[in-house]
Amino acid sequence: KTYTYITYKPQGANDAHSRSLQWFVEEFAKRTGGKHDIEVFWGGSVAAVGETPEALAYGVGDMGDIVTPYFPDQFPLNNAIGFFIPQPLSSDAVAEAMVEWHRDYPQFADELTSQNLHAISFRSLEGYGLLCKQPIASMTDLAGKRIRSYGFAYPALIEAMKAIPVSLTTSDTYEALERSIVDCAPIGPALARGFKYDEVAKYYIEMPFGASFGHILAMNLDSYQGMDDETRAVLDQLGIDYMVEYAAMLEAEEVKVRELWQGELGVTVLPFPGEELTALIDDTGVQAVRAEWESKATDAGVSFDDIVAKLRF
Amino acid sequence: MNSLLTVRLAYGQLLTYCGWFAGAATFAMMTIVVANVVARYAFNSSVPGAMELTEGALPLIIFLSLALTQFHGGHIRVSMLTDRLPRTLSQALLVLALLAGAVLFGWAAWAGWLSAEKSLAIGEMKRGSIRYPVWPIKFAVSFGMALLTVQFLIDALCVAVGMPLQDADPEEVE
Amino acid sequence: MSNLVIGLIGTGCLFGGILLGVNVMVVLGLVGAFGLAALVGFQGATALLSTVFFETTHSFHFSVIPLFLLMGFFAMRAGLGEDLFEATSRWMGNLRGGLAISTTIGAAAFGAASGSSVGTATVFTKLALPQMLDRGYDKSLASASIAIAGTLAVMIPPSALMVVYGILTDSSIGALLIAGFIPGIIFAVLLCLAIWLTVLRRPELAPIDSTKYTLREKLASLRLAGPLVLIIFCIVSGLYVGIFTPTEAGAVGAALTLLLAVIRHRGIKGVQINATLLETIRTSAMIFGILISALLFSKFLALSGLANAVGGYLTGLDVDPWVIVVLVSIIYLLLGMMMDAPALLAITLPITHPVMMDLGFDPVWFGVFVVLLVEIGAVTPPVGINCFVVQAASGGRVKLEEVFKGLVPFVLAGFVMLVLLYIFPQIALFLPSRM
Ligand code: NA
Ligand code: NA
Repeated sequence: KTYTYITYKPQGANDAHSRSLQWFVEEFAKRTGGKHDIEVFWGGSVAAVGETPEALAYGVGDMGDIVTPYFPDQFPLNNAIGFFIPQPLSSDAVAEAMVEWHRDYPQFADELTSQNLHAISFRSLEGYGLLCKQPIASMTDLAGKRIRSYGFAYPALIEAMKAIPVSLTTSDTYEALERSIVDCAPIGPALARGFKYDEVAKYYIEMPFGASFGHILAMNLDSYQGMDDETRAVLDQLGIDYMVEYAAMLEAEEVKVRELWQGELGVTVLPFPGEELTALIDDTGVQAVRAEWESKATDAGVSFDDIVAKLRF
Repeated sequence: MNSLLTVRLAYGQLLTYCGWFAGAATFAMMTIVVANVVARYAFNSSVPGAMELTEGALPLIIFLSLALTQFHGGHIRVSMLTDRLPRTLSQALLVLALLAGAVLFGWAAWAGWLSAEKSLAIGEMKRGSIRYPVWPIKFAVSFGMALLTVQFLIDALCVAVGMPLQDADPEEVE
Repeated sequence: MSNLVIGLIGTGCLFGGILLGVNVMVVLGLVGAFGLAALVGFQGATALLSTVFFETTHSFHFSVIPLFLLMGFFAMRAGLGEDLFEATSRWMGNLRGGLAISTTIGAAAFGAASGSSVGTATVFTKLALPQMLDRGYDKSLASASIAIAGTLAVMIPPSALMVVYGILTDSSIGALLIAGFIPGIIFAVLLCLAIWLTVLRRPELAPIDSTKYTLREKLASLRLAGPLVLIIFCIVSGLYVGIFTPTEAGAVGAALTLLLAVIRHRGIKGVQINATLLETIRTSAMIFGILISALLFSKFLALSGLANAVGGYLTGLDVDPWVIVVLVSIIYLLLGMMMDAPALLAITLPITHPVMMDLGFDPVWFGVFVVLLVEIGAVTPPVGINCFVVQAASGGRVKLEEVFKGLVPFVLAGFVMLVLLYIFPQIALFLPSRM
């Protein structure tokens, strides 16, 4: 059988995301002995980011990338990390945490199964810092700066920095940085290179925002349950191996980008007193975002103390 | 036949009210975006939620005007072949074409309604510099497509009984 | 039945439906939705129907389209078209073919305030066609020169169509808008040359106008063009220097043209803001209706594997890139006979854009190239939307056949422009590379 995989990512992106997906597809064919394969529909040609969960749930595609931060209300539990910025986990640790939570709290998987979805694997993003037009040494330098914001946690955090959150789409951010419509954008090195933001903003501030989550490699539940046991076992194992493969690719990419920054791209990497950022966690606005998640978790019947503890510095 | 015309015109009036709302939203969108530019250069600040409001306004603008566009016959169609057919045949084809429109948008309105209900159930919010619930916009999208479905049905009925629809006014065509 | 066959049947239904007069939005959406149902089931199709309309319009990028349209409609209310035509015809009127040439120049300038090809064609039909016909111009030459001049509005920023391309291909909209500036001007010059050569060969098509204007009158007319210079300056330089994003350019442009309209009418009443807004939203709804329906169709085309098959075939051809460019151009010209610009872009770009990127062409260059192609399609029979508009707005003074007949030299000028763009891509890329 040929399974379909839908992703918003263009094939030509040639980043850890697209290359690891390519690897996933090849491994699947290899490990099932050529009995099954996966056809990928790249570049959102079948479903845009916002359409993917519905498209997967109703079988438009068998598998696909769900960009979870787009759906805080649809997948509140699986978005835990997004509500807790900053948090101390690295990219690997975030993926590990997701696996652990799915194992320990059935509600995490239920949230997906109730929408006819099944998680094959998790793709966490790299650790984020702040890419700026000017050098930033401490929190006082950020007062009054315009900072690109998106999602649900950054606006409150940026306000706590006494800076101005400016909501921008990913594709607008390049131009906004270039034209100083914003001064800074939270992002990691590999993504900054991928979106070419580092062409127009030359200071990378090591603010410890933590790694973002990320994408769920999800599957239509019926397609998953319709697999024979052997194939399902192959897929389950592949999902675990995928995280290792992806983590290696992502790390290699970050190393390469940081070399490029030192060399021809000329991006200066600056340290930042991390305690100035973690101090902001006590801000009422930031706390309100976290409380919102906790109330959603309570509604879902999750006792979240251990989860929250993991996300504390 | 006269009462059918009355119904069509009365319905068109309702669509025009929706259109005014969409027009006001367009004007508001222009104002907010300009205010944001001015705020940036004059006061080094920004209008909170300028982007979120612009995003939220566009579905309203589009879907509250779709049916009005059909009422004025502004959706593009090609008539060079059908113009050369016998009148009854071209009339029958046009009725079918209009019913096809009703099928598509009836289906889409129902699908959109399901999506709006889901949004309401999970309390979906737009989260940015400002926050607002998304479900009213999703219901408006579904409502707009339902309006268009009804317009297609009315027009199909009009053509079936031999009432001429007004021709497309070229000024309304992009 | 294999998916490819379903894809082919769907494509056949699409063209059949269009020819049978089903409205383009409906036939795209219906074939797309039923095609999806055939491929992935009724529930799958319903799932996409439930999301595509909201997701596509719930977008900051797309809001630039109603704003550019609003700007164009306010520009009409502000009488910018009249002023420009008056100014250019005072300077050019005495030349043979001068009125047609001044229409072209006026439309190019007006295009800097309007993002709509059809809108510009409408305005100049009302302004210039009666003048030309009254002075004994050939009907074909007069009407065709207006139909093609409308397309300049899409090349010269602002341009709703460039935005559509940018959204569909995820390219930089700011760069695209700026990129059209120089090609638009060169195309305007080519069109003027085409008029000049046409009347050189057949002088009887355009009698010389004997109305004489004094230098003072000519200079006075320049003042009329002043407000527009301000608009062009604000939009082009604002985008170029980076004072604002494209969406903001649309809003600022609309506000400025509104201001001009208010000044012209000495108050808000004469501007008829209500009517202008209604025109804007109806046109926006029409564009988005087609755009979203075309997205449904392109999802169907992608899932059927037909898009990949055609793209793979084109990329796999062992020929020089220019052959692919010619093939792609022919596809656009053929399809451009059948449908109008936004639908054409939405249907074809998922196939052609990856092919061209694989061949190493610049996305911004391809944007300008493809927009020129679909705009040539906007004047070619049988579906030449600009020609329909000119004929309709002429109040019965020209026939559709007459408009089409006059277009030969202008379509040739379009081909020359395509060749120029291919040989000298810098025409399109110079300004964006300096941004
Ligand atoms: Na323009
Ligand atoms: Na055509």
